[in-house]
Amino acid sequence: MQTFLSCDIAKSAVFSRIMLNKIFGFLTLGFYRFWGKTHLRRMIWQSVSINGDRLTYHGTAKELFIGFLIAMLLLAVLFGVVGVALQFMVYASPQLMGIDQVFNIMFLAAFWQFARYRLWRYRLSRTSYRTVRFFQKGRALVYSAKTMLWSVISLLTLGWAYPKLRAVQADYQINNMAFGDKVFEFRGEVTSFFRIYLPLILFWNSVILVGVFLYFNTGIFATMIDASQGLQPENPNVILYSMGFYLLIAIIATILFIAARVKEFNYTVDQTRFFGARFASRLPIVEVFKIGLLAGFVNVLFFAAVGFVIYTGIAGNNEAMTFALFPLFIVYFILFDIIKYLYLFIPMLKLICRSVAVDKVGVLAEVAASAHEAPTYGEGLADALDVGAF
Amino acid sequence: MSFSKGEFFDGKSSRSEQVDLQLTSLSVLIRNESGYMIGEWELERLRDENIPLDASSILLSLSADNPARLRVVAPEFLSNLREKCPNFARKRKAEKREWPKLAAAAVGTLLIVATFVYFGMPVVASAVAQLIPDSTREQLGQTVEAQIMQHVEKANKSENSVCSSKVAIEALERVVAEFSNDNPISILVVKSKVANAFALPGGRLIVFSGLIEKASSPNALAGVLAHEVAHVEARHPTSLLVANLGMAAIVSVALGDVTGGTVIAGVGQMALGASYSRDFERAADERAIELMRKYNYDLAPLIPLLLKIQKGTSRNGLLSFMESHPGIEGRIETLKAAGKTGENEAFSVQEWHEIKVICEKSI
Repeated sequence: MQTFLSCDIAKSAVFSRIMLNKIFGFLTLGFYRFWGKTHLRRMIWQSVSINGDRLTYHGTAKELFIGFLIAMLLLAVLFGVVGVALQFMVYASPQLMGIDQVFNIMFLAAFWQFARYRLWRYRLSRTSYRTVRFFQKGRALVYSAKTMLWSVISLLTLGWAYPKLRAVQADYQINNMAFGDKVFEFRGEVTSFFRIYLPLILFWNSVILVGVFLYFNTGIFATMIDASQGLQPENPNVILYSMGFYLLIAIIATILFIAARVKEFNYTVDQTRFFGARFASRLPIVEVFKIGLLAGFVNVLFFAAVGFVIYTGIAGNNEAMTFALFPLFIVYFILFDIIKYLYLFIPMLKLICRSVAVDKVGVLAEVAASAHEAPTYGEGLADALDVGAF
Repeated sequence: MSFSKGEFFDGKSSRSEQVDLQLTSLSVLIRNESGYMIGEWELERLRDENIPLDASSILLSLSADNPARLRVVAPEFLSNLREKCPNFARKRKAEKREWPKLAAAAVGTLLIVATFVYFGMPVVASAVAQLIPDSTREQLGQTVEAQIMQHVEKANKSENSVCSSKVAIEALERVVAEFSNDNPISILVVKSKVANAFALPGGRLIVFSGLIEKASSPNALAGVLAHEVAHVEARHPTSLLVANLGMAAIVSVALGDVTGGTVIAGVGQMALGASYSRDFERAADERAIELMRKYNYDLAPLIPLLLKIQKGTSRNGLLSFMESHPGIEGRIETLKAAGKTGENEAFSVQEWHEIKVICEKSI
C-alpha cells in the first residue's frame, strides 16, 4: 500500500477567488454563482493529483446555468404547489403545525437526496484523470427512495437501523461509480457499519431512556416548560443544571458522531476495489478533531467579535442595531465561506490525500475511456436546494 | 524549428505515450516512438487546459470536443510554444457562439415564470380561494389578524391596542352589516398612526385609527368600509394570501435558498405586506359605488380621504409596509366618474363623534 493522492492548493488563491465570487455574487444578486463556482472548482480539482497527474474539472458555468433554469421551472411548479399547500395548512389550522413540518421535512429530504445523487453524477462526469472521465451511474430516484425508506425505519427503531441506511447508501453509490469503462466495487458489510455506529446508538438510546425516566419520575420538564413561558421556577438551579446537561449531551454526541464518520470513511475506502486494486484509508480521528476545533474556534472568535461590537456600540439602540445588522450579515456571508474553505475544507482535503493509499499505484493509468453518456446539464436541483454549496 | 519530448494522451484511455514533438511555424508535429506522425496540431487552435496556469508545464488541447491532450514540460520548448501561440488562454469560439441560445433560454424561462406569476398565479389563487371552505378561511383570518396585532402591539409598545367604544363599534357594525347583506363580518378598530383599513380572509375587517383621524366626514369612512366589504365578498384577501405564498416559494427557488430562514421570515411578511392588484382594487371600488348608491350614501368624501392617505408620509417604522395602495390616481378617476351617489350620512352626528374618539376612550 502506498499513498497516491496529493493536494497542493494555494490558500491565498482560494481566498481571493472566494472574495471575488462573493463580491460579484452580491452585485449580480447571486447570479454570478455559476461562474464563481466553476472557477473555484477548477482550482480545487486541479490541485489534486493522483500519482503526479492532476485532475481536470470540465464543468462550465453554462451547464450550471442551464441546470438552474431547468430546476427553476421544475421547482417553481413543484415547490409552488407543495409549499403553498403546506403553508396554507399552517395558516388554516395552526394546530397542524407539527404535521405540516413533518411533511415538509420529508419532502425536502427526499428531494435533497435526489439532488445529491445528481450532483455526484454531474461532478464525477465532469472530472477527468489522464483524459478519462469518471461517472456515476444508477438512478437518483432509486437512491433517494432507498435513503428515505431506511431513514424512516431508523427513526422508528431509535437509530438501530441507521447503520443499515449508511451501508445501503455506500453500496448504491460506490457500486455505481465508474472511471472510464471500469466500475468501482464496494464489499462492505452491514455488521461492520453496525459496529462503527454502535457507541453512538447506545449513547442516544441511553439519553432517551434517561429523558423518559426523568419525565415520569421528576418534574424537571414541567419546570423547564414553565421557565420557557416566563414563570419563576421554585429551584432556579434546576434550569442551570439542565442546560449544562444538554450541552454535555450535545458535545458527547458530536464527538461520537465525528468519530463514527471518520471510522466509516476509513472502512468504506478499505472495502472499495477498482480493477483489481485495493484501497486503504487511515484517516486519523485526532487530526480530524483538531481541524474541526480550529475551524470552530475561528468561527466562534468571529462571532464573539461581532457580539462585542454589538454589545459595546449599539446595545439598547434598536435603530442602530437594525442598520448594523445588514453590514454584519454581509461580513458574515463572506467570512463564513472563507473560514469554511480555508480552515475546514482544504485541511480536510489535504488530510484525506495523505491518508488514502492503494496497492497498485498505476491502476488508474490503465483504463479505457467509456462511451457512457454524461448528463448534459449542471446540477440545477442541487444548486437550488443548496446541496453541497460549492 | 524546435524539438522536444512530450507525453501524449489519445483520449481513448488513461494510458499515455512518449512522443517526439516538432514545432514548426504553423503547427506542432507529433510522432510516436516508432517515428510515425500521429498528429499535426495547428498552433492557432491550441489551448492550455491548465487552470490555473502552471509555469512549468502546459497541457495542450486541439478542440473542445477532442479529449486528446499533449503535455509538455521542457522549458525551452515551452517558451517557444508560448511565444507562437497567442491564443493559449483564450476561450474557444464555439463556446462563445452558444451564448445567444443561452440568453434566449434564460429570457424564455424568465418569461414563462413571469407569465405564470403575473397571469397564472392570480387565476390559480382566486380559484383556490373560492375552493377553500369557510371554516378554513376563518382560521386563516384569525392567524393573519394575530400576526398583524403582533406588529401593531410592537409598534405601539402596548398590549392593548384594540379600541372598543361600544356606541362606535355598534355603529360601524351596523353599516358593515348593511353592506354585507347581513353576512357575518367582524370589524376591529386598532390604535395606529397608519392610515389604512383592510380585509382579512374569513370576513374580518381591520381599521387603523389613523384612517379614522384622517376621515373628515362619516361617508368617507363608510366608503372605505364599502370598499373593504367588497374585497371580502369577492374573497380577495384569501386570493392575495395564496398568491403571496406562491410568490415567496418561487423567489426562494430563484435565490437558491429553499431551506433558508430568510424565506420563512419573508413569507409571513409578504402575506401581510403586499397589496392588491389594480384589478382587485377597481373591482372593489366599483362594488363600493354600487353599495353606496343602494343605501343612498354619498361616496364623494372618500376622494379627499384617498388623497390624504396618498400624501401621508410612510415613516411609521414597522407598519409602513402596510400603507401600499397602487394606482390611487386611477381609483380617484373611477370614484369621480360615479358622481354623487346619495343624500344620507352613514353615521349619525352622535355616532360619528363616538367613532372619531374611539381610541381615546378605550385607552
